[in-house]
Amino acid sequence: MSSGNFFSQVLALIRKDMLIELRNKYVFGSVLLFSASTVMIIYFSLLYNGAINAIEASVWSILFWMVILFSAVNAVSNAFFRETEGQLMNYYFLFSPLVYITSKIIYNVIYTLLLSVVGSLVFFTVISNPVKMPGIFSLVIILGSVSYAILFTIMSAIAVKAKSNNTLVAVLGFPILIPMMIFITKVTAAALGSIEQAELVYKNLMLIAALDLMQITLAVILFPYIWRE
Amino acid sequence: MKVEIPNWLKQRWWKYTSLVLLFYVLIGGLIVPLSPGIETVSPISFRQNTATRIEVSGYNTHFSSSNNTQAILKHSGKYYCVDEVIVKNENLLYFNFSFNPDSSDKDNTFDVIVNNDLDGTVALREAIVLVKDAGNDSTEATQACEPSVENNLHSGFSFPYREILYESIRNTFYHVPMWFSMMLVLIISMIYSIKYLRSGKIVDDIIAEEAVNISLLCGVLGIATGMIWANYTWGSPWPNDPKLNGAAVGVLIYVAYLILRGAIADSTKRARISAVYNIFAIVIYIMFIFIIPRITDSLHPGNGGNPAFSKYDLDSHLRVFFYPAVVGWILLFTWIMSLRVRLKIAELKKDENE
Repeated sequence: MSSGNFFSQVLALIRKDMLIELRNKYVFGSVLLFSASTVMIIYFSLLYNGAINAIEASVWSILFWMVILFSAVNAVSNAFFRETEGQLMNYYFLFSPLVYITSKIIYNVIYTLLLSVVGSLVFFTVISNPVKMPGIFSLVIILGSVSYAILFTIMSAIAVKAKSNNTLVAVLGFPILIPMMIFITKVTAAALGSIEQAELVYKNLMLIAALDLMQITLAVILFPYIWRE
Repeated sequence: MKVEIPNWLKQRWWKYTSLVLLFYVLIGGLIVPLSPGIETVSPISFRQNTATRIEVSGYNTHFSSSNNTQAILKHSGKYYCVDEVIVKNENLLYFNFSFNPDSSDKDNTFDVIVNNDLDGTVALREAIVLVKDAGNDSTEATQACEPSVENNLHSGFSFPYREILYESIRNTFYHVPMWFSMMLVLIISMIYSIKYLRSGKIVDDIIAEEAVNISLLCGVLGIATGMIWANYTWGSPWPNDPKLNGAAVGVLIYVAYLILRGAIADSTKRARISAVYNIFAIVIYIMFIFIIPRITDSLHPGNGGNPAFSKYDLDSHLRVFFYPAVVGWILLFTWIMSLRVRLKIAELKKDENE
């Protein structure tokens, strides 16, 4: 398989997923509604005597990532669970596992990034908190979304093959996510200005990137074994 | 379908070795005494230039049977002799002391040191606090004196005496090996998961699954023994400690593995998919437990400014039991795993015959 062929196949699969998404707009809409209503729940719980209680950066960061976490699990697993057995069989004969997993990872990364960006905008509008380091904040949003997307892509692939539902994606994914969550929430809190340790921030960002890279490697090596049936 | 148990699981020598080692650790770890040490000093503060009687209670000490018991105080790097030492019994003595600081003296803590032939030098750091009077400097400052010490080390084979740990230092032989065993059994599980993906033999999958079961047992035992220990030494059963959190995350990940296995009905599919999850999980997990203690402080020895194991086990007496304990526990847990593997295989054969 030539490299040009590989990329055109990956692009074709991503395009196909995007077209399905655009055709059923209610899916993206429901994920957005899910995050928006969660943010509103948080907002109203913070409301006392008509004024919003200020929350610390660390609390802001964990609430934000929790909202994105649950939206991302739904969004990513949906990209797998909507495909019928016949469709999967079709892809199995048409594409190599590498093409399929690469397209899914890229598609889910884009999707989760979009969710995080929209989610953070909603969060900033409703529960305002000034960002002290906008550069670091955008970097951690990107790296964190990539972590979520890769992990839940692999776990969705496992859950689909196990013929289970998307509850299993959360059960399998959440414990493995703990290591990444520790770094992601710390860096986010630092970017919001609670911790003033630039050195630690860069170290943690490197660690998130390293974990992302490790996940991609494992996904590429291990996916063929799930794919084969 | 022919199922063959790997040869090393059938061999007996390592199983007997584990019994011998653990028996040695159990007996030896309990009968070796602790080194002598100073348990408490009372009162913990005194006024300057006032004769004060201070009571020192020792642990495993020989104050009365040794004939040259002397008490010394150490204060900002200098030694001070006490006025009179009254030995009450083996573990109790009094001394009288009065002290007048010079004007440049900033430090106000005193280390209490007791020395004799049998116990060597025992000390309690920052044991008493000097209460300074403002502007009363009529008397001359107390002069330092150099004590004559003949013997610094206690005789006899014993475990190190540590404040807050005391006798619970023996838990080192039970708590710490749980963690080692958990990691080793998880690595066995990973190896057999990789083997399964390469060979497709059902026995490899059985070993991988049972290894995870045993690792969960080790993890839970490690957390339980650690919680009891931490409750007495650090004052809380769940102190915020990266090693503890690491073990807890491991237990969560591998409970998820067992849930995944339970969710798949077909046995070959279950074996393959759970092997993939297992390999994915252990790589992330190992990265996690190696990174985490390096970026956050830990209460455990060797982390965050705490002295490592080697620092307080200067005479290596703990190691004489610690290393056999680690090997013994690892072998014992592998033995339990091998029994479960053989039971699973027997069940499989029985199902086929029916």
